[in-house]
Amino acid sequence: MTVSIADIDRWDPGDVREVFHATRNRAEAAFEAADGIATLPAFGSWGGDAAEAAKTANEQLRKDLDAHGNEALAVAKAAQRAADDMEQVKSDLAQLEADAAGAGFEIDRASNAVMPGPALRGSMVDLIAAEGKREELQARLTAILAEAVRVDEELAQAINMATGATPIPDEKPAGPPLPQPGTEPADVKKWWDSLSNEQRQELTRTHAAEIGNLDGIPAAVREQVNAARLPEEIAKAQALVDYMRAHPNGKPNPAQLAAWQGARDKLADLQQLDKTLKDHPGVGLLLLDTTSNPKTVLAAVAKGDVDNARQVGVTVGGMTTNVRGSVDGMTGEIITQYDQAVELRQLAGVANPESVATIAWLGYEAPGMNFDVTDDALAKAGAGPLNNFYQGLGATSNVPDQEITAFGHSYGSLTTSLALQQGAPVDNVVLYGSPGAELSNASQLGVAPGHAFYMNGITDGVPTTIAGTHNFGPPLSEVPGFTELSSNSGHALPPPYGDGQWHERAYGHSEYPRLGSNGELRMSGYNMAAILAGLPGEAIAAPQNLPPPTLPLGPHGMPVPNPNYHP
Amino acid sequence: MVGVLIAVLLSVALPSCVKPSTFNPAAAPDNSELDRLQKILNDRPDLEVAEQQLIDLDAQIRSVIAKYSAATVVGPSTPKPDRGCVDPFTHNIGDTYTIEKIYARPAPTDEQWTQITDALTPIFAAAKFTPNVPPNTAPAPGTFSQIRDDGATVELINSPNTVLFYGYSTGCRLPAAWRTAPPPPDQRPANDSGVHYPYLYGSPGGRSAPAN
Repeated sequence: MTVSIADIDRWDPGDVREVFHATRNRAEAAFEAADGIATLPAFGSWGGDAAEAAKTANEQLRKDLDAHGNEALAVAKAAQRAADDMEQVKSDLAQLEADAAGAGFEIDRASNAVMPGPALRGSMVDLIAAEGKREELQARLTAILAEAVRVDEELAQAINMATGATPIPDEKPAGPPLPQPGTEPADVKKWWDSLSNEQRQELTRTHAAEIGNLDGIPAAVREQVNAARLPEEIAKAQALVDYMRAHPNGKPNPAQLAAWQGARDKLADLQQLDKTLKDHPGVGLLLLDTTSNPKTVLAAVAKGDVDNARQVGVTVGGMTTNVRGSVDGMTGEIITQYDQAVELRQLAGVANPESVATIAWLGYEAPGMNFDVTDDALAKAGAGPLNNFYQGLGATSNVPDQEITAFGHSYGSLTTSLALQQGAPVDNVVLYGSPGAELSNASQLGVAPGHAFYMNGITDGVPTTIAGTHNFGPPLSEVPGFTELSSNSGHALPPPYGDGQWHERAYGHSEYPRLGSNGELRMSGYNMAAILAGLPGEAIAAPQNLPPPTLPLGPHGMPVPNPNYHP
Repeated sequence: MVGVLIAVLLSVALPSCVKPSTFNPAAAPDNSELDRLQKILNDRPDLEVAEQQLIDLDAQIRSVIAKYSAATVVGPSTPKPDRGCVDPFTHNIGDTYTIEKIYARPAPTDEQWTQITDALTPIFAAAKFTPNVPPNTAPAPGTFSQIRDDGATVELINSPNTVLFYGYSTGCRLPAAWRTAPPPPDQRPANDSGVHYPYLYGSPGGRSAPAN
């Protein structure tokens, strides 16, 4: 079966739309009649055997009318699809002809081929030079004609359905419907548990993106689905970038520029995710959202068996955190944090020492180096999804005494605080380098007394000077109910009460989760691992009454941080 | 008012003066810092050299533990599957050989631990390792972790009656082959497939795209 350009020229989508309108009217009339029967007032008061018989008969009639309506609707939908597709093919063909004419070519309707126009035919040099363009145009024409064949078959199917020559397919959706947006994660979990294995498999195939990102779906399922999606998402993002590159706008407007930047950034996000996951086998992709945010991919990566771990940590980053620039570093940090927590549990001799999982949550748009960081709008926007994520962890856990620890750095501490203030199944919270968390008391975080901690790095001006402006509420040092943990250099307690290692101080704003020069976590990172491990007694409290950090003068008399400051 | 003032100052100053890594622990340092770190690891002996040294040391450590605490079962040294490097070399070109942490039981007694550390002291000294504590600082009881100037580390922590913890790492280094040819494609930066030795942004080059 072939379709020529002349056939396409003769297509009239308007005629097909007539079929659509007629069958849709028939469907609506059938549904209206069925509804009318169902609501007849006589059925409310009529009694006796005759009434029962009438009810049964009318019920059957109502079902028949519904079925008829559904059939008419199926034909209408098929006709509408065919009409839409016909218009698209005609539009594509018209665009191709315009592009061909612009490049000096014309479309030969007899041979379905792109041929040189008069101008090109006069110059063999020009003709050879334009051969590449001709091949591109011919490829597009071939694709349009192939699509036309498919549309022609689609139209024939619609006509056959309308005339009764072809049975009308049952349009029942594949698999059960997904939960409505906004469904509580606990209810999502109940819904998932109610499905058969076949239904779950079908849904992970047909609705992979939704299942992979739905809080309340078991972590192992999400990780499996998202890992399988990643190559396709990269291919799609690459195709979009290629298309945009091949179709540049002469003078793009700001929206077009933003779209171009967003497309490139998302491709970089996905490529970096792919590399990070390959570099760290065993790390799972708990969230892969490529569509919610136009600027960035949202993601979460996890180390450990999230749903079967007793101790689960979730880290949220702050300013400039995004997938492409941060996921590799954050993945390294959660692996180190996992290792340290397991080590502490082993040395302490607790049961199930490896029952730990750590997560880096990049599920919100963090502020860049711009004005956004001075406003809590992005934190508020991220708080809802983060709260939902916590709820999902609680819903899917198979461990009755699961203990979740929320870690928030810098602006991410504000996001974490706002998420917890909505109520979450979180047991401990550690905020570090915080510019303020819009809190007047740690109890607002919903954790038990003594389970809210903060850390201020040596010479870190954010939790002191910046937080002192009260732009995001008081500094955490002024919020009742918080316990300060140490960021200073020192030994951890000897085993079994700690690892006994020397942990260097965390200076500045960004060293908290990093390794020191001795290959060990800095004191702040060690303390976070101790809280995560469920061993808060092993954390090192902040020293009291220290002298102020020294700031030796550097070039031009400017103060510089003193790397030898080890109080 | 103060908040607005800080906001204005930040919005003006941040993009021009401050590096992403100043505020974000996971962000890449600027190119000059990356080059400084890259030169450090370029100057280190090849990954394979350090790996073999540590494997040899591993055999000696196991031998000492077996001699003085025969009941302690030390599991196999399994390489960690993670590729690339950790702080401060996360954004540099290099690789690391690290073993999964080993938890050996039953832990040596205090007396056995003293014998083990006494026997290991000259072995570590011969391999140019020193205790992993600042100068003039004594290691905490039960710890005998070591570090070498080239970034190699060995961790040994004994929790009597509980567990003996043992692990080691070469630190970030270049595999020998990466000095003469680029890393395998899947170990190059996602945005910089043309990287090559000496992997510098400055002269003589080797990196061109911003580090992720």
